[in-house]
Amino acid sequence: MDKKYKDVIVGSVLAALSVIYLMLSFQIKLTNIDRIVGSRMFPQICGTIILVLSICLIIGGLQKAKKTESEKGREKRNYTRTVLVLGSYALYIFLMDKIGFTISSVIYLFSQMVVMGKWPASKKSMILYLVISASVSAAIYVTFNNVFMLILPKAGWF
Amino acid sequence: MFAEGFSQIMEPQIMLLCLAGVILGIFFGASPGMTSSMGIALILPVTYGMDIIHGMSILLGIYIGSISGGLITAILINIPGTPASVATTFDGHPMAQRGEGGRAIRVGTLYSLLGGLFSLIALFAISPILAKWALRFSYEEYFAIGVLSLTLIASLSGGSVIKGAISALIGILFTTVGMAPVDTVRRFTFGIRDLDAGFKLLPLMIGVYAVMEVIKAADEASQEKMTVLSYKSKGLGVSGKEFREQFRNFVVSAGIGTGVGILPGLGAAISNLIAYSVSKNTSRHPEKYGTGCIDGLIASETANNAVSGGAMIPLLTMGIPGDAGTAMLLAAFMLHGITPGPLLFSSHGHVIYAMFAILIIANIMMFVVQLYGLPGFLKLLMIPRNILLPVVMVLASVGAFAMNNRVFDVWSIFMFALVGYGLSKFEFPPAPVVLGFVLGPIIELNFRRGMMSSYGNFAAFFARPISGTVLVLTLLILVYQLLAGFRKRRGAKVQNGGNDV
Repeated sequence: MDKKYKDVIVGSVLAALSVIYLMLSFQIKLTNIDRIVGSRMFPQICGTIILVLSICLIIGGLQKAKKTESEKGREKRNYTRTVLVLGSYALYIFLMDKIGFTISSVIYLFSQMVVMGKWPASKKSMILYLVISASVSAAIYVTFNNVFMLILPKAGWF
Repeated sequence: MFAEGFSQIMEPQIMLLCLAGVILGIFFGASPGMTSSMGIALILPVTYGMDIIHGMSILLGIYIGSISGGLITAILINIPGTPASVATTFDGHPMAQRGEGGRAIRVGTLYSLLGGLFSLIALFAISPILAKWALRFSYEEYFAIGVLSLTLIASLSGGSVIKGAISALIGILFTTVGMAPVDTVRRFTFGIRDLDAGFKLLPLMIGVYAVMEVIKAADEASQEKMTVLSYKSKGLGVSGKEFREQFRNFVVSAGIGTGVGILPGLGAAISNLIAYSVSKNTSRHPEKYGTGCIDGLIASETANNAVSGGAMIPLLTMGIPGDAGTAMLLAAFMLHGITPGPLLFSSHGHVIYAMFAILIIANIMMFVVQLYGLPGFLKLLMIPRNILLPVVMVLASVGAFAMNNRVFDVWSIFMFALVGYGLSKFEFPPAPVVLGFVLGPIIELNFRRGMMSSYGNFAAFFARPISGTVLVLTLLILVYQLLAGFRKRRGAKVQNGGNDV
């Protein structure tokens, strides 16, 4: 992706999304009580403004792109950690529902500490991460269940 | 009024909760990337089972503590703990490099207290009057104030106005999911039952801010450790003579902070920079700014703390939050079954007075804790971020789950994180998303009610004096922004042309 077209790309995506949003807004039911301003009106106003602003962004982006020279070379950024951070969080939420809060939290905390720490992690820090993960999860579970009386997701067997 | 407020909070439990809040707040404020709104979001679930005054004592403690806590890292490490203390680094860190870190912290903390107390006086004086005045507000006025707030947020959030406006509108679009106001028609729910109730503020805040912080920290994992400069000192950091010399600087900065706080949507992140530049431009020795003079430090720390009282004014009198932190306080009020607004003063006067008293106590506690607990906070700050942030994420997820006992809210954190990540990649500011989400329902509800009462005539919004003035002001701001953007572009063109020649 050429960086100079950044605004054009994001403007186009937003414009497309706002068109879809506007189309979906026509499916909103109209009731008899307020024919004057139904539930469609406000989303449609906002959707239209976003569409107009996205077009402005595209036009501005094109003008800017004309002026600036092409910035060659892709951004040299490693996305592995970002994907791992987001992926492990998604897995955590999925597991929370399936195997309960405590165990899924231990798995998540441990994996996230490894992902965010220095690579490769030493054996000593791995043990430390495991101990912290287990004790924090247990402490949160006990505190919320017994002190604040909030029931956390629980699997049938734990 | 104050006697009634203090009589309600003078019990050990409330004092301890407030103290815990202040300590947590200072820690959140001092930790780069963690802000008062995140602190309040994390602790909010703990208050579900408490009554409003107990709950508020810990939440307001966090709110007050976190604005001031940012100065610790700003001065000693040169990383502002929160955006509210960006200007503190300009003079605070050079002082620390000179070996005056301890003095800088003491001066900063003293003026944080004074700035906070100044804004509280404004809060006590203005809010009852404004609340009485706001009683006359109808749908049209609330709509107009909502639109003005959004315009201010979009245009002052930094960077491109178009991007700021799109961010705010994206926040509003999320509020259109679920049951519509007035006629409870389902919108954009696609037959998914969990979507009927719509999205909640807490998952949005955590998704947009906290998860982004985790991603950022993961990217910076290989960075070197932070080095803390020496901070030993005694006394208050300023002599009587210096105090008298700085009085004008203090009053001006406190006034700026309180004023910025009252304007919806701006907050401490902007006030410290404005106060710093005003103080520098009006000073007799502007050349000293940036080299470690206490004037700049005092301007920044007074102004950011003075926002706290100012931002509470629109929140309590109109139910419109002044910044992201007060937006979370608004969510906390709602969870406890109280809707802030002009009626609050007559219907829940005792809560208001108790809150005023808590705010005073929290400011004093902040002063004492920050001065004497500094070594402890610095130890806490040394906890590696790869251990601290995942724990914060688990606590945030528990909080989101506990709101309605459903995993759906935790999934929405994930969705908002993806949105937040996408927006940050394309340089869209995140703060307008949050405030758009808070103001969206206020604007829509009052727009629909106003339109219904005028039988679909939008001109009615301009016919009332207050709403008309506010809407015209909003239009003027928009026109000014457009002209400024146009001029900037033309200026750039001329410059380019000149370069070509």
